[in-house]
Formats: sequence, structure tokens, C-alpha cells
Amino acid sequence: MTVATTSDPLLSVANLEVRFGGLRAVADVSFDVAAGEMVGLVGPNGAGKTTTFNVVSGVLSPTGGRITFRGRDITGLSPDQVARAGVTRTFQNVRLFSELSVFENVMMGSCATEPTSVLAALARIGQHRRAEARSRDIALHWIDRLGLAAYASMPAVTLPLGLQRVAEVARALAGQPRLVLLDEPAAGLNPTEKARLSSLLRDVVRDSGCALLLVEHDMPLVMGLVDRVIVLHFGREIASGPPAEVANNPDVISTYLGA
Amino acid sequence: MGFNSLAQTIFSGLSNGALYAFVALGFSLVNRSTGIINFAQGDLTMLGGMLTAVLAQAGVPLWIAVTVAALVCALVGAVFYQFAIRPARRATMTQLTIMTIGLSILIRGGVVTEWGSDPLSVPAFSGDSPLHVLGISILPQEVWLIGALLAMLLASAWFFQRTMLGLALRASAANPIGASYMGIDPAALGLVAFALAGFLGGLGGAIWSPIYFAQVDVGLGLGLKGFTAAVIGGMSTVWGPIAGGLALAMLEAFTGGFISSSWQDAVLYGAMLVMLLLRPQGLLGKAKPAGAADQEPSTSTRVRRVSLSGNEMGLLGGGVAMVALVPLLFGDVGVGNGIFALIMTIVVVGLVLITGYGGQLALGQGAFMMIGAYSSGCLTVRFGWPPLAAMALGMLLSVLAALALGRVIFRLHGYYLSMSSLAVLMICLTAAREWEFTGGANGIPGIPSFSVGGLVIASDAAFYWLALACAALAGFGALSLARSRVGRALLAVRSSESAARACGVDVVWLKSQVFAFSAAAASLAGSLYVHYLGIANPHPFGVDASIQQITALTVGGYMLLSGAYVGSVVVVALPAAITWLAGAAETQSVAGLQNVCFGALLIALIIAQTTGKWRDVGLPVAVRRSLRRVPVWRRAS
Repeated sequence: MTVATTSDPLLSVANLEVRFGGLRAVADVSFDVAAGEMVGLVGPNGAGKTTTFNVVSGVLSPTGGRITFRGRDITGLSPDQVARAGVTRTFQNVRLFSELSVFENVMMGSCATEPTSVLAALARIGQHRRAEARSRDIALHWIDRLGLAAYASMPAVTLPLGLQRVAEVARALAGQPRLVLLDEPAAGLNPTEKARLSSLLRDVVRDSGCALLLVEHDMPLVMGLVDRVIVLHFGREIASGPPAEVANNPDVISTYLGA
Repeated sequence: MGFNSLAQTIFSGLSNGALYAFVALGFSLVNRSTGIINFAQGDLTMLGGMLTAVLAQAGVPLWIAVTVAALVCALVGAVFYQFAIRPARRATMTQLTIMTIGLSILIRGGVVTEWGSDPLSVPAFSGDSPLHVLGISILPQEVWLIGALLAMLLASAWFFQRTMLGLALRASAANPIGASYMGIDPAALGLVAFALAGFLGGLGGAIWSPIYFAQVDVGLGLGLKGFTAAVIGGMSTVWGPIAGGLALAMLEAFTGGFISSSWQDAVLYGAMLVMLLLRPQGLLGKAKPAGAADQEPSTSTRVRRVSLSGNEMGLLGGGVAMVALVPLLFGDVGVGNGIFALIMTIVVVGLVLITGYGGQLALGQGAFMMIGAYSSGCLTVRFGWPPLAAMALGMLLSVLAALALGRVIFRLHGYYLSMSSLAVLMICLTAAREWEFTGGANGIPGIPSFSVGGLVIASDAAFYWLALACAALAGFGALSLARSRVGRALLAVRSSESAARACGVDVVWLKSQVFAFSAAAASLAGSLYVHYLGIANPHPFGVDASIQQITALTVGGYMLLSGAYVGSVVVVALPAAITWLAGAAETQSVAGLQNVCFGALLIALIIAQTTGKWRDVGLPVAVRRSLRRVPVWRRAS
């Protein structure tokens, strides 16, 4: 079923299985994401999308299967190790750092690439100064690129939800990832905010060459944005392919319409 | 060891275990329904015993005395919740825990002031002649205690399983917001939980007091053992604390019987650490489901950004300068007290980072002070090391110890650091007292003056400047940490740990590093302390010192480094002022009065910081803000 887009995928999920006690939230899921590709993970509630997501980002450990990223086995790594390996994420219920400004939030993103050492910070050695300078440059770049410059010094939680989502994307990108996981980025946004977020994702992220894997319920948004859709149902993959093709797949239609 | 002595050991363990179970039940009741670790639980138990003793001596019939004691303890718990915990709605869990420390020393101080610290005897309920069963002698009072525990156990099982109120308590503990939508008021439940915990503590203390004397000193130890029992048994069930209490008492009895009674405490608290490491949910507790790790602790939403003034550097400089003026203003008395304040400042500066920024309540900094103190003591006296090298080695050892401890503790969430750091402190205190190498209770006398190269710092005035330099160094070191990406990452972890981890922050390593910094600071302070006094002994590094450091931190403001200086000066000056006001005649009640003042100060400060205009800030900022409201001080704009 899986369409291999390149011979050497960026992310490869093989035979993933996650059990919670007797419940198999994810039964047997395999898919690849190629470098720079935008992939949508869809399916009805309880299909195992978020669980798959949490396993890839290291929040949960799978009970079976293997996750390979850039040829390296990242199965069972902790979330911070996954981030440092080059996979960053956003959250469905936005989790910006409430005590930090927007700018500082985005700077935090570079903890994935720059060391955070007490000794270096105490001694004020060059390593620490350079890390701070690079974090600042990268944060400025993404804040500028995503149109957050006007809000940079505001406390992150005072932003409207739409902008908080954008700030989370900026924070995820500041980690210089090869793959960003977006967990329902459009949830709770109004149509204007959705359109804005969608165009930002299409233009800015595509330019950066970073791959995207998103879980989303808003079908028009997914269909208009991604290169490929993977449909999960009861913890299994039932379809995969370009949006137009999957939308006409009889299995998918019956899953969604319950026919 | 024959059957009889074995059975006797087991049985005396059983009656102690019943007492620990009483305390542990109170702990888990409060913890399950409010999330708070109630440090005052042991002191409530002590209060129950004291009240019974005092009432019985006044001629009140024993059963009335016991009832009144238990009810008064319930009232103390309820009043404390209603007028301290409840108003402080915006408080973090750390602040709430510190408030219970305040209550603990308030009770202790009140008891000493009122009734002194001598043990009081309480008549047994039904005679003192032991019963002989199977060759073991059993005191009738022990039967009463175990019987009362069983009765309480049945009552609480019935209460939690069969009554609406018990169900509501459990529901509210599991999900306060959901429960409040069902019409359950979490605050009313907190009130019930604190009152019940007070009642349990008071009753246990009252029934236990005829076996052992009613005495003020037992409160702290009882509290710690009760908590240890709750950790060992697991807090999520009613049976957990009881099993934990019995297991702990057995361990204690057998350590006393087979190893040595002086190492009992070390073995018990060591067992708690091992338990936290291997099975943090306790013997009978259920492990959390795998997905639960992703949930944010509910308290994190309570944390608000402290408006860090841009001129923290200036404030810090001001704090140092203020302390520097002390010898000029107060002469020799000022120098002596100033040195103690500066040494405390060094410790508190570390606490600002680990407790203020890191949100981890560290109560055992005395352990690192002891590592520094004994390194300096041993190496200079016995091996002739230069003081600076000994001090540096002490700091290195403290850093290593903190890193090792941090790797274990910071994998767990919640209150674990506060209790396990206290346990480490108790173990270190025992070791220092019992070990020959550290000179036992007499310590290591004859420690030379501090010297660097050829420069010997012998006079008090010279030592004052040395301490000031160290305090300034620690302060500015901490400031550069707070302002760096380390400080930013700590604040990020406080608001959302899962998001911080998704950004690539290794949370355990980050907290361990910051803990190591605070340990190095404490070790430095310990070294300075012994060079100043010329003797290293365990006395100045005990739990009282921890409470003073926490008070200084609270007075100065959790997030304010300059506050560390102000807070330490206040904490050193306050007892001196009380002694001066009360006169030196009755030293014992003065000591009690000091505890009352510190306890009341802690509680009042936190209420002020979490409700009024003083929100989250310490004395320096509060004073500055109030001054600004006075027109004379306002700058022309």
C-alpha cells in the first residue's frame, strides 16, 4: 500500500504497534516520509493518529515496530532526543511557554541544536555566547519569516490562538529540523486564521526544505496543503496516495460516511 | 535470637507501625485530595500527645482529654486550610508546601512557649501492667493504639467507598475541574481533608503518648517517618500508608535489634530513597498508565511570570552594598551576624535557582554544607591541605553528589525532591554524628583560619570581607545563569515540561546541573562556616537551618537574587531582635517564640505574595513599590 516516493526515505515507520493494556490503539502501521515531503495523517476519531504522532515524537514508546529517521533507529528515544535528532513538533492544545515572550519562546526552539550547559553559562565562555547568538539569529529569522515581528516582545499567552499556533510553528522550525510534526494545527481556528496558517505552511515551510507530517481533521485544509495523504482506521492504514486519489477511494468514503 | 525476642521485636514494631500509619494516613489524605505535602502532619500528632498530657495533668478525665486533643488538632488543620491555604489560591505547590512548613514550626514554637520542651508523662488508658501472650509482654496501651488504627481503617474504608463525601473527595482528587462541574467544591473538600488529617494525627498522638512521653521534639521525626511510610506503601490506596507504616516500623525494629539503634534513621531514609528509585508509586500503589506522562501537572498553570525588573544587576549590587554597610553601622555585633547572614545568602542564592526558577523545593542543602564543612575540616586539620584546595574539593564532591542524586530524583515529578533531599540530609546528619572519621557529635575542632597563599584571614573583619566577596561571586554567578539560556530553559520547563522536551531540553540533566550549582554554593557556605567557627560539627546544618534558608528565600522573593541578601539579613536579625525584646532570661521560651515568629512570617508572606499587591515578589520589590506610591519619592516625569 505504501507508495515509496524515494529510495531512501527521511522517516520510515515500520509495523508500528501500540497497546494500552488490552486496547490496540495502533495495530500495524507502516509509512514513509520523504525529505521535503508534506504528508497528512487522517482518519476518524480513535484511528490512532495522535498515538502514532506521540510515538514518533518520543512521548510514547511503541510495543512493537521500528522508527527510522535519516537511517538512524529512533524507536523509544525520549522527546528531547527525538528533537535533537531533527524531528520537532507542535501541540494540539498550544503549549507555548507562558512565562516567556514570543521571541524567547522561539529562541527555546534552538535547544535542539545548541547546548544548554550551566558550566558554559557560568564561565561565560565563547561556546555559550555563540550558542546564544545563533539562537537569537535563528529566532529572528523565523519570527520575521512568519510575520510575528510585531508581537516578538509580547508575553506569548497574550496572542490570539491563530498567532499562538504560528508562534509554535516558528518555535518548531527554530530547531532546524528535517521533519516537523503538526498536531491538528487548525483546531479552534476561524476560517481566516486557517487560510493564513495554510498559506504560511505552504510557502514558508516548503521553502525551508523541511518535511511536514500533520494530523488534521479539517479535510479541505489537508487536501489543499499536502502531497500525500495516509488514512488510518482502527489502528491500521487503509489508504495512501495523492489527496485527489484518496478522496475517491471507496474504502475511505465508506469509513468516513459509515456506508 | 530466640522466638520470644523475635516475636517481641515484631510486636514492638507493630505498635510503632500503627503510629506511623496514623501519620501516613493523614499525609496521604491531604495529598490525595489537594496535592499538598503537609509537613505539619508530624507536629499535629505531637500536638495531640501534648494536649492530652496537659489536660490529663489538669485533672480532666482521660477519655475527654483524648477527644478534645483530637478535635483541637482537627480544628487546627481546618483553620489552617481555611485561612492560609485557601486564600493563597494562586500559590504554586512549592509555596503551599512551604506554608505547611510554616505551620509545622508555628505549632512547635507554640508548644515550647506554652509548655516547654520537657517530656510530659500521660497515664495509660487501662493500667501499665503488661499482658503476657506467648511469652511476649504487651502493654495494654499498645493494644489500644493498634485497635484505634483498625477502627480508623475500617472507618476510612467505609468513608471512601460508601459515602458521597468520600466519593466526592476521590473524584476531586482525580480531576478537580471535572468534579467542580458536578457541583463538588474542591475547597470544601480541602477543608474536610485537612480537618480529617488533623483528627487522625491528633488521635494517634493522643493514644501513643502514654507509651512514650509527650514531647515537642518528636514532631519532625514523626512527620518524616509518616511521609516515608506513605511513600513506601504508596499513597493511592487506603492500605498503602498502613502497610508502609508497618513495613517501616519493622525495618526500624530490626535495624535497632541487629545493626545499631543509632543508624536506624539512616537505614529508614535510605530505604525511602531506594523506594523512590525503584518503585515510586509505592509497594501497593498502581503505576500510572503509559500515556499519563504527557499530562501537565495542574499546578503549572498557577505559575505566573514574575516581572523581572531590568535592573536586577543594579538591585543585586545594591543588596551587596547594603550588606557591606553593616559593619559600619552596627560594629562588632554587626560583623558577627553579618558573616552568618552572608553565609546564608550563599546558600539562598542557590535556592533561588533550583527552587525559584526550577520549581524544586530543596530542603536538604545542609547535606552539601556538611560535605563542604567536613572536607575543609578533615583535609586542613588531618592532612594539612591548604584551605582553598580543601574548599574546592568539597565543592567538587557536592557537585558530583548533586548530579548523582538529581539523575535519580528529577525523573520523578512533584514533591519528590523536597522529601528526598530532606532524607539525604537526615542520613548525612546521622553519618556525621556516628562516624568516627567525622569526629562524631564533637566534630572536628581546631580548623585553621582561612588563608589564600600567604594571606591569612584571621580577624572577624577580614573574614567578613571574604564572606562578602564569596556572596557577591555566588550572586553574580547565579545572575548570569538566570539570564542565560539556562534560566530561560528553566522557566520554559516550569510552564510546560512536555513542550520544553519537544524543543530538545533534557529536563533531568538541566535540573541536575542547576541542582549541582546550588550544591556547590551550599558547600562553599559550609566551608566558610567552619573556617569562621574553627570547628566542624553537624549541629548548624540540620533541619532548622533548612527552614531558615527557606524563610530567607520566601522573605526575599523566590525569583529575586538580590532578595537572597535581604532575606538572609532579616532571618539572622529577627531572632536577635526577639531575644533582645524578650530578654535573655527565659532562653527556652524565646526559642519557641522565634519559631512562632518564623512560622507566622512564612505563612503571612506567602498569603501576601499570592493574593495582594505583593504577588510573587519578595520584600525588596514590595518595599520599592510601596515607596513609589508615596508622592515624595516619585520621580518627576
